[in-house]
Amino acid sequence: MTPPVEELAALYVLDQLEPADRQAFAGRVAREPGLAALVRSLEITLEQRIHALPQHPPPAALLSRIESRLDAPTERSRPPPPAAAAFPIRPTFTRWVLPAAAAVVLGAATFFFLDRQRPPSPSVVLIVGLDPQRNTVTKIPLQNPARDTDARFVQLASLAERFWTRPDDLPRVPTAPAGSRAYALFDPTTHQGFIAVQQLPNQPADKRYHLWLVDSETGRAIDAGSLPSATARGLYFFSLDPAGAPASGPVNFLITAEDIASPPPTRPRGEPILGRNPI
Amino acid sequence: MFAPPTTLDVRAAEDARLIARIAAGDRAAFQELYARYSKPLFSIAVRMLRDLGAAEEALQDAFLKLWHHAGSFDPDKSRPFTWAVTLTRRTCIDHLRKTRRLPVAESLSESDTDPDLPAAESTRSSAERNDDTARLRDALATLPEPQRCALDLALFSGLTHPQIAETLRQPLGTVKTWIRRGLLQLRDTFNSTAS
Repeated sequence: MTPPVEELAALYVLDQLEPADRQAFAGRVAREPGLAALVRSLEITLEQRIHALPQHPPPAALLSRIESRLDAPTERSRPPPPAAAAFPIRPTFTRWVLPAAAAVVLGAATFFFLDRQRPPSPSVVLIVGLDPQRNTVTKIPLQNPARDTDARFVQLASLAERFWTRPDDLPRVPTAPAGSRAYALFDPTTHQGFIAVQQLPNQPADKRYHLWLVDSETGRAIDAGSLPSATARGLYFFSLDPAGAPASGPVNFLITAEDIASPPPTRPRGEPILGRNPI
Repeated sequence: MFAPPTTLDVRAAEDARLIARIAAGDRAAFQELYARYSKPLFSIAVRMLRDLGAAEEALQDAFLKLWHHAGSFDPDKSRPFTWAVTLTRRTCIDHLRKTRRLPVAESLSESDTDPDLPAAESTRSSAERNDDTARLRDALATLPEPQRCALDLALFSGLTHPQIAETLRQPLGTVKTWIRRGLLQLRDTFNSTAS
């Protein structure tokens, strides 16, 4: 049975249609004025519903942060790779197979040679234990040191979940005398990580806990985001902008209590709660 | 059949022109659209992610997408604000998936006030300042609970409608009907109070 057009229109404005159905329906909206009017009326209703939400103004400095990212080079701005050269003729079997086989052998030899010369992609995950006085860094190997970001993320997330659900599997972490503690898993290749907060002091209403990654060689603190408010325990993902991430070398972590009323900090200003203060 | 052009339509036409300028790389147009859209879009992100830090990140990503994909906006297929809402919601859903957090499945009555979030600008005072918003909240109150719940889950939870059906333990067809009726009734109630 064909669903009523109002149903398709409702699902369309709520972005609930499958991509192919959405595309087909969008085509109808563009062609049929009556349908377009129905969709517009539902969109206006949706717009009003959204404006009826409790309104949270974004931080004042957010626009400048967005604009600074607009200025960063993107994939889109890179020149396209040169087009593959077209084969000028259709070769016969003998004319084609021998050069192709030679090319494959040569290519494979070159690949293995270059692969040996290339510095290996780091195959470790750093586990940084944080307590109020000190940090403890441990390296553990990745079982499958893939270079693909997604594959590495899956491994990292699996490790994070394993340690979270079975804390006894964790390698050495600090014992925190005051009970405040957390640990971070960080992949230096993809600049992704997880922060596992086991216990934090109660968060004052005017403060927000902020996570920093600290390049131990330069002392530079890199913003890794805010921790969810009023949360004492949890496992959270973070990802650094590759442009600002430390190129290599040891890293450390720091959690500070920053003023909510102030613009988002660009460097640690608040009281250190966990980890080593780099300032 | 439908209401004549309103200030909303004029506004939408202006927004569409801004997006066209953004597609041409006009930074001032981007700033203007940010000034118009950032608060409601941030409010959606806060509502979906329940975390100010994550919502900030999502809003940044959504506006970056808006900048990079402004050329793909087609005013014949959707209104500018709906397009921006779709970008923001998809970004939030990606964030929920990335962090492996479950989408939030709850009704509006449980969720418009969240003790874990800092106080938003008072909804009541906003409503008093804005007659349209007040009318919409009145219209929302007239919706039967299943319709209101299904509609808000479809809009704010990040769940697909089959997942909503599973969450509410209702047949898929029933949930689709609730969503459709909820949205249509909201529109009609709003239009009747507006006129």
